[in-house]
Amino acid sequence: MSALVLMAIAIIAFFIAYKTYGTFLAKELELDDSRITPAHTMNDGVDYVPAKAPVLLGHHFASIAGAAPIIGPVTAALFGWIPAFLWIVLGGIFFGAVHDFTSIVASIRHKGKSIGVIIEKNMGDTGKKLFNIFAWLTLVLVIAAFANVVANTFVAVPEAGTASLLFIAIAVFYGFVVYRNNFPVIIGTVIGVALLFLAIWVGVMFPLALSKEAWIMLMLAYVVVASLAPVWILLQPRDYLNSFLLYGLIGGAVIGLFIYNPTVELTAYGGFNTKLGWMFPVLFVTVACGAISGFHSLVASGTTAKQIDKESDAKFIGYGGMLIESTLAVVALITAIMLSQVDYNAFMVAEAGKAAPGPVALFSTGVAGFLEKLGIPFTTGKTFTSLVVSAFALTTLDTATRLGRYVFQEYFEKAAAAKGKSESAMTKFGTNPIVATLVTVVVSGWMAMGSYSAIWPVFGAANQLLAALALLAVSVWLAKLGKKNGYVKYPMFFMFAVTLTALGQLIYKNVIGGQILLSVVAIALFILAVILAIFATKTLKQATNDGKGISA
Amino acid sequence: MILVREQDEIVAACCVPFEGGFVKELGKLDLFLSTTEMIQSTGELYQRLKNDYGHTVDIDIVDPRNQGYLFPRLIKDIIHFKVPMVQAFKTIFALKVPAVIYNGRLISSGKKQFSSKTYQYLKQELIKNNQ
Repeated sequence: MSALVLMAIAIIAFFIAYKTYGTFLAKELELDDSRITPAHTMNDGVDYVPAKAPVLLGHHFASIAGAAPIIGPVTAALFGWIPAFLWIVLGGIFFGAVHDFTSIVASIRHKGKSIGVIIEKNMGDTGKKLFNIFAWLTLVLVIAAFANVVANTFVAVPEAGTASLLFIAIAVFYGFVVYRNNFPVIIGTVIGVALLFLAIWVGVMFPLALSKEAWIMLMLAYVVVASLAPVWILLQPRDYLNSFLLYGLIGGAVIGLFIYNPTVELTAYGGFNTKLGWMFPVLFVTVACGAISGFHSLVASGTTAKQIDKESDAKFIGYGGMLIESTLAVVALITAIMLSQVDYNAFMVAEAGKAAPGPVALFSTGVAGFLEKLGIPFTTGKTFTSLVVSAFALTTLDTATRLGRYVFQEYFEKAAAAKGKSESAMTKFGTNPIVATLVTVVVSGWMAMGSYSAIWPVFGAANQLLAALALLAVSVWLAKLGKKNGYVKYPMFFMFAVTLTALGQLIYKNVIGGQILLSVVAIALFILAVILAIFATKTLKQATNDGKGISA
Repeated sequence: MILVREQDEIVAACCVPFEGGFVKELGKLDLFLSTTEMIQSTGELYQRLKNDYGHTVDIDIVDPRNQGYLFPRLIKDIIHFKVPMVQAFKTIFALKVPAVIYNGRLISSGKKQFSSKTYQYLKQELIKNNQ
């Protein structure tokens, strides 16, 4: 069967869902364009400023897109293409897009405040405290998962390792030229992109072959330095070039896919019990951002909610934006399922004493095949794609390390404030930025040394737990208003069920497999999930009782 | 009219939203200091134009990283408003952040503080077009 058939089914399903279920949600949420949004009521031309829907969709999509919606579907193909495809499409329609859409609407109705503030307002201090504990663990998992993925990629595609190191130098150069010396953007970009292709050429000529452990150590050293440096030196310029690469990659991959017209070779059903775990729940946490991502609630309730021009735009940006991301996830899935089972296993299943090349190497090989149809040499296409996905992952590593540091420091500050001791040795130790960075990085690095198939599902579970929390916040908010909330409440219960069972199973698997630190983190997340699930039920019951008879 | 300026946040980091206000609240420091100044400056121009002309002026604030929107829009405006070739090249190739583009023409580029000259020019153009 042609993989384009799957692509067509997904696009048609997303279109119909947008027109029907999206419209149903808009009615349930009582979207009303005569109700003025915070972008107008609080318009300051700075944070709150109305933006046209296509402008905001472009920005919102660039914020939610990245490496995870590519890595997750490729990994989940181990369960067979039918389960993975169904969860991306149905999960995207009934869970992910609902999550993003309702998060934006909830934020708009709370003056554009973040989902954290909405949780605090609707669930009190306990919810907020649990949310904060959860944040650090999640960030540590993010660093471990992405460092592991990038290291495996560089081992498998050493050309991308060289090119990525050069890309860092190019970003610093771009930062000095454009951000510091105000060089014209387009000329700067053309030069930046030309240098990028030069870096790819150098990478192809001089691949840097290092071990996985050496790459992880190198990346952790980089991330410590990068996360302590001012953002304009590396993070901002790399981000600018990344956004250019994002559109380049998506455009090239989609056009190439239609010309290549791959056939589905991978098994339709890979069995209920795989190396990753049982299909329920592990499939659902593995696909991650391709179907639903808790992190999107943070984006949705940030810039997006502050700049929504009219309420009806929330459907286009929130619901539509997530469906575009799911479409990208289908493209990623196709790069996996166009391979035979033997070829897929060669990329994804580790051999004794040797890590598997991993999902990024697989995706890059697939996209390189598509790009070859556009006249781009295979090795160049493969290095380019690996470089792009790794660049997103490196940005994630940098930002996660910074946020992990802040959360760590804040914990010690608050603990000291609660005890009335601000100058104790422990407080000084915990609030020191270098100490906070090193603790975060060392814990992550230790986990990153483990196997990819062990780390990714735990990371996915943390992501989905965040999604459950965001859905909980929206459910409580709607219940307090006395409105129907089944379309968020049932997905929330499902996501709690998924994360609890997934974490339970992953703890068992990791304890047996000797992954001690990962097991400890998974146990902590499991306890947190149980507490939150009990808390959710109580809060929701109380909110439903309180909300009876109250109109919006 | 398009005001081109960056947001104080990092995009393309799907799993870790990194927005200026959020980081400031959590980390108690302004990482995006120069971007913040630029946002303030464009914000002042935006407010002034909106106060003076209200709904008669259509202003879009666009991040230069939003390339899926910005460059197609620039090309569209250049064609729609029949911008002369030299001006069109200037709009595309001389664009520095922050920038003001009015009907496909680059009015101001790379000036962190917008001059009263820029405002006066826009005022004249708006009056001309509203007549």
